[in-house]
Parts: sequence; C-alpha cells; structure tokens
Amino acid sequence: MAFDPHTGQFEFSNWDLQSVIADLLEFIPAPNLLHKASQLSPYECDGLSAYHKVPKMVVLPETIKQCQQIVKYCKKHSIPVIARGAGTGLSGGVLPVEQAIVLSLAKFNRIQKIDPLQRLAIVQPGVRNLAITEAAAQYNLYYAPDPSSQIACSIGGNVAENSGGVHSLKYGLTVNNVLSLKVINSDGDLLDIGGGECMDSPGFDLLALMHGSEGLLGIIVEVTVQLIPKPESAQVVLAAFNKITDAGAAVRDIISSGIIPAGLEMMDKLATQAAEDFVHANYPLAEALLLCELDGSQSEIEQQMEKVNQILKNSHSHDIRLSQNDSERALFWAGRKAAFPAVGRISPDYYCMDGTIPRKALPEVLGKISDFSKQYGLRVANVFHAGDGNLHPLILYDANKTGDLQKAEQFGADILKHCVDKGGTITGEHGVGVEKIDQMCHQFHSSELLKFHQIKALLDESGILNPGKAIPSLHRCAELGAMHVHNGKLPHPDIPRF
Amino acid sequence: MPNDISEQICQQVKQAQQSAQPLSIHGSHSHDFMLPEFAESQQLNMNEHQGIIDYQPTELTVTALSGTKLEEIQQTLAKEHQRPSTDFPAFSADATLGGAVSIGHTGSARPYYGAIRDHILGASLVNTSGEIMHFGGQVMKNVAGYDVSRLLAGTRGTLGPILEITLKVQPIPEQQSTLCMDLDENAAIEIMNRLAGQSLPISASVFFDNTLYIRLEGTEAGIQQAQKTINGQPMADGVDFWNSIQQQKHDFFTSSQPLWRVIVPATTPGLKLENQQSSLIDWCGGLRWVQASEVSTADIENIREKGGYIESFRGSKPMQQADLMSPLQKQMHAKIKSAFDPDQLFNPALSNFA
Repeated sequence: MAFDPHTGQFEFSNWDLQSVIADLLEFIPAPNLLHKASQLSPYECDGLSAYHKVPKMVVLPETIKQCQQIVKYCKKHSIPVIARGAGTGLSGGVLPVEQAIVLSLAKFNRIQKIDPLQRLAIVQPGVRNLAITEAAAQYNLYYAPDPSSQIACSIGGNVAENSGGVHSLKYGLTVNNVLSLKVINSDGDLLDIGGGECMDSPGFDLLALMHGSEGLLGIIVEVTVQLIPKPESAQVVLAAFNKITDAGAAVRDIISSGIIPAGLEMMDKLATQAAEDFVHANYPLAEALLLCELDGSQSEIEQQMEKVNQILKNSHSHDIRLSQNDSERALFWAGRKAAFPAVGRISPDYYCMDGTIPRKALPEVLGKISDFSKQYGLRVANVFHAGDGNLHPLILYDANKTGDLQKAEQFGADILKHCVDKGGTITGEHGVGVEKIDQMCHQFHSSELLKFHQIKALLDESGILNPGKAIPSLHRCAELGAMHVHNGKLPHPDIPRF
Repeated sequence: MPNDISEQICQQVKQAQQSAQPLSIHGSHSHDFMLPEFAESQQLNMNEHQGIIDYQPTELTVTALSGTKLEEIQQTLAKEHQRPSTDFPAFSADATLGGAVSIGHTGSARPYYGAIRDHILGASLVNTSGEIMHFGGQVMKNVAGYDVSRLLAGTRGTLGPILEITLKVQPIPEQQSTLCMDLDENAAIEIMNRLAGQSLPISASVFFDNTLYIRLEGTEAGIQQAQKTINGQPMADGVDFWNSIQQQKHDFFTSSQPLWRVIVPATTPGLKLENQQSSLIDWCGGLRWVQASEVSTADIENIREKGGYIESFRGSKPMQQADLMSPLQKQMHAKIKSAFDPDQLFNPALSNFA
C-alpha cells in the first residue's frame, strides 16, 4: 500500500515531467496541460492562502473519458491526483501535495438539463452554484444551498465539502439537495451514486458518504440537484442588542416558538462596524446584531413576523427594523454577506474559523473567544449562522509580523477544541482539508479515525486521491500530543506515546 | 429512564467475534416480511436498548437509543409541539428508531421534507471488536470526517449494531388540511408535480382510485391562501387518511395480493405492469405501490429503462438489495461492508454484495 494511515507516509514516485507530458498528450490536448511556472501559480492554493505550494502539473480534461484516462494513468504510475473546482475552499482541501497532479474540472461548466416539472437540474461539476439558480429562475425555481462564495464556487466543490450557507437551517446543506452523482473511482471506473432522477436507491447511502469526502473517495463528474420553488415573498427583520446573551435568548425563543426562519444570522460589534464601514447598510451599532429572514406566502410571513417582533422586544432589543421592500431586504443582507471582505479591510490578514456548537452554548463560547483574544493579543470579529449554531470567528492578524500567523492558528485551534468540548464540531461547512487536520485528533478517537482510513483504503487502494487531507494519521494524533482527555476517556489509548 | 445496554451489546459482539459466530441484529421485527430469511446462529436483540437520552427542543434535536419506539419519540416531542422532521413509516406500535433508520424508507413527506437520512445528525455504532464509534454529532452542521451516520440509512444492520441516533426535529405546524381532486392517473401525476413547483405549504400528495389527496401543513393564513390556489375539496378525516398510508392500514395495503415497491422518476406516466391489480402513487409520483401476483422480466426491464427499479415488498419472495445494483455498485458496497465488518459478523445473509 502506498499510503500508511498510521504514519501518514505515502510513497509516490518522483516522476519525470517530460515523459508524463508525452504520455498525457496521447489523450489530452496540449493547451489543457499546464506545466510552466506562470501557468501553475494560480493553482498553488485555494481560498486559504496561508497554505500554498505550486503543483508540478495541472490537467484540464474536457470529457469524462479523459478524466478516467488520467486517473487510470495516475494509478498505474502511482501519482497523486487532486480534483479541483473553483478553488474557493477555505481549508486547503486542494493544496497541492508533493508529486501531485491537479485535475481541474473548470472545463466541466455546462448545465446539461433542467427539468422544471420534475424540479431538478443535471449539471457538470464546474458549474457555479449561482449559475444553477440563475438558469432555473425562468421556471420560478432555484437551488437552495447558498454559500457566501456562491457567485464563484462550483457545485462539484460544494458536494466535496458539503457546503452550507445562510439558509441551511430551513433548506438544508448540499447533501440534502442532491439526488445523484456520477463519480470516477480510483480505478478510473465511472459509478452512478444515488437514485439518478429518483428519490431513493437500494443499499447504503453512498450519496451521503460522498458528500463532504473532500476528494478522497472519488472525482465527481456530474451532479443532479433538486430545485425548489422560489418563495412567494421574503422579509428580513434586523434587531440590535446591548448584550450578546439577549441576542442568544432571542434566537432560542424564535426557534421554540415554532418558527423556522429561512435565515438567522448574528454579528458582533466589530464585525458589524466593519460591515457598516464597507457597505453602509445603516446598521445600528450594538454588541450584537441579529438578522432574521422569514419566507413563504405574504399572509404567512405577516403572521409569523408579528411573533418574531414580540420575541425581539421581549429579549430587550433596542432597535428593530423590518425590511419594507426587496431592495431594503437586500441592503440588510449586504452587510452580512460582505462581512468577510469587510473584516479584510480592517486588518492586513484574517483567519476564518468554522466551529459549530449547540446554540445554547453561544454566550459561553463567545465569552471564551473573548478571553482567548486577550490571551493572544489578537482581535476577533464574530459572524455567526445563529440558526444552525455555526460560528465563524475571524481572527485578525498581520502575516508580516513574525509569529502572528502562528498565534492566530493556535488561537483558532483553541476555539475549535472548545467547540468540541461544548458538544460541537471543528467544522460546520468549510471542511477539514489540511487546516484542521490536527483538530480532528481532538474530535475523534482512534477507532473512528481508523474506520475512516479503512473506508479510504478500500475505496482507493493505491491512495492516490487527494492523499494526506481530511483524516489525520493515528501516528500524527499521538505524536501531536492531542491528549486532551475528553469525557474522561483518553483519545488514542492504543497508540504508543513518546 | 433510558435502559442503556450498550455494554452488554458490545460484549455480545466481542464474543461473536471471538467465536466467529455471526449475529442476527434485529429490533421489533416489523419489517421481517420484506427481508430475506436470516437465521444467523445468535440473535442480537436491540429492543431492550431503549429510551430518549437527550432532547433539546430549542436545539431542534433529539438523541435516542436505537431500540426506542418511534411512538415514544413522537409522544415526547409532541409535548413540546415538535415532531421528527419527516414522515417515519411505522407498521406496528413497537416499531423502533433503529429499525426505521436501518430500513431507510421514508413516508409520504419524502419529496417535501426530505428522506429520513436527511435528518440524521449523528449516530454511534459498534465495531467488530466491540468498541463504540461516534459519528456526526448533535449539531445541525458537521463536516468533520466522512458522513458515516447518514451512510447507515438503509444498511439493514449489516455495518454493525447502531446504538444511538440523533435526529433533527421540527415544530408541528399550526394546522393541517387535506384537499381531494378527482382526476385520472396521468393528470394527477402532472398536477402533483406542478403544485410541488409552486410556493405552497404541501407536505404530501398521494393518488389512489382516481382521487388525488394533497396534504397542506403550515400557518393558518398560509393554508387558507393555499386552499384558494388549489382547487380541491376539503377532506374531513384527513389525519386518519395520512395515518392509514404511513402505517399501511389503508384498504389498498391490506389486500392479500403481493405488494411491490416501484421507484421511478416522479413525472413517469402511469405504469401498467403485466399482472397489475391495483396501484397507489406516493412521493409526488416518485414511489408507486403496485399489487401484482407476480412481476415479469419485461416489467423489470421497462422500469429500469425509465431510470427506476422495482423491489418486492410484501407477499412474495423477498429480494436482496444487491440484486438491484450494477456490478460496480455491488463492488463498492462489498468494500464498505468489509471496512466495517471484515469478519462477516453482522447480518451477513443481508449483505451478499460479492
């Protein structure tokens, strides 16, 4: 076996560039083979630019057959393959590893079919998330998951990461909105996964297994997505709070009143200030800002909005504003949607975390983040998908200051560990990639990690698909000293310690 | 109080591994009629392993031991005006959560609220060494590690005994109402799909005996508005009707004819199998229940050409899931089976993927 989960070692041959180019040219046109330094630099990282490495070669196949040929070739010659979509990922999932070929799916950019009556679209993996919604708009349908990068990110990448978005509490994640996939396995065979255009398929839920598998189990070459009807209407209420605990109570009370908002977002003071300076949404400045969107029929919204309004008042919100029309609704959202770049304007660099916690733990976790912020001497802006407990603390740092990045990373790691200790997870929607691989040791015990490795080893015997990502080796966890005793249990009791 | 017998279950698995004796894992036996016979040497009864261990109404999650009765979960959630986030079919009062997940069949809300697997947030499972593994969690979003908890839907116990499951729950809508329309089969299929493409609070649609039944759920105002849009007759005993479909107590399901479960793309026109006696359409057209003395090769081929499949459900020889798969799909199943159960300890008779 080329890959050893215990040590994380993989032995891939140091291949000769010229001879591989000559071989690939037999089935890939020359313009689709990138190997010059100037061509390769855009592929050195994804959205997490703190990790970067220029790949040795990038291939841009145009057909499924070419993808299969590339995978077969790479398997035969023991060359790692990293499938890449739009490169907007935030965890270094497509970071080139030593000796890897990057397989870009950028040319798979066609929407193959939209069936308005059956409410589904069959698309190639390189199609942008928002492009599906735009194409479906003429039928009054849309594709629900809307990660903030939806203008650029591709649907294949969404499946690989199981992306979420601001509407996932009501409409689900990518895994809840995909009917089937075509996937190339590490033998180069083409597999149908899921029910095609059907709502069920016999056997295990392989479709779920593929979602969020970060390119380790197969290469996605076609996606059939569900489309849903556009709500008749939508309205946003914006509420300001002097205390984070009051905003947290409002979130709890909205949910327990029987309302599932289409979106329920929170920002802290620093994030609100940055967003306001950037897009001038006329946000009130407060310790916490809550945005709550309701959708459905006009009469339904009116009925529920009344309840929400009462809850916000009871939770001591001192400033409540209801969007009066669609342009005002867009303005209310503009600040939230631009929160990341807005924070980018107030700091040379920021490091975005992605922990998820039970909603009730929010005030406590925010308090802890504030303590860490003082401890590390780094500011933090908090943006929060309050509806589904997904927290995005943005740690502000300066990469040009010696030691700042390391401090930011340690700060982030502390936050994620705290999320796990509060019953949450290290990643809600951005994936593990290379970034959170060490924190995986804190979330999982060795029997679970070993199971992940066994799945990978059986489905990708040669270990060529995106090696070294997402699942840490047991050796790495033991060596890291990820010895945080969780629920009184030692995480990796069977691994020798030194 | 929950009766957590995890330790006992783990012990039994360990012993099974040591003695190389496969286990027959079962809950309330409410689906036995559709499973190929399996009399492994030892029974692993999950029924006693029951109880709700964590329910957080404001988090919209419930965690229960796998032997917990669906009825108990429903009753507990109802006290907080909540319910599971989609329809869980229950064919007997003692049907369990673990059984429902292992079979993985969803009720009539499937096209509108998603499948059972869509609402699984986490699960724990016993490996062949008798160790407990936890996957997923109790939060809405979690992409750390492979999604093993959702993978378990439909595994029929073949990857190991499931100990605990966390589900997403939803508020019970303010109101429910059912509308009926008299239509022929093909018109009904088209209308169900047209309505599903509009912003309406529909949560189920079933066609039987020239009548289309549409279930509306939502706020009072939302339902009133939808009733005006959909030109149907209100049905007085709608709740009973939907229960009779979910529990298969409706007259259609109590016939002595063999029952087949046909999965096709939702807009597929009405099917006529060679020996078809009667049919009931669910899932907005995506699920066709068919009564037929037997199914011909031509029927099977015809359904496959439409992109679907047919499986025996009740009253005829139960089928292996593997028989419905392509060779490559079988191979992938066999590999996953062997990652979880290399010694073929867990329900091996239900997992002949090789």
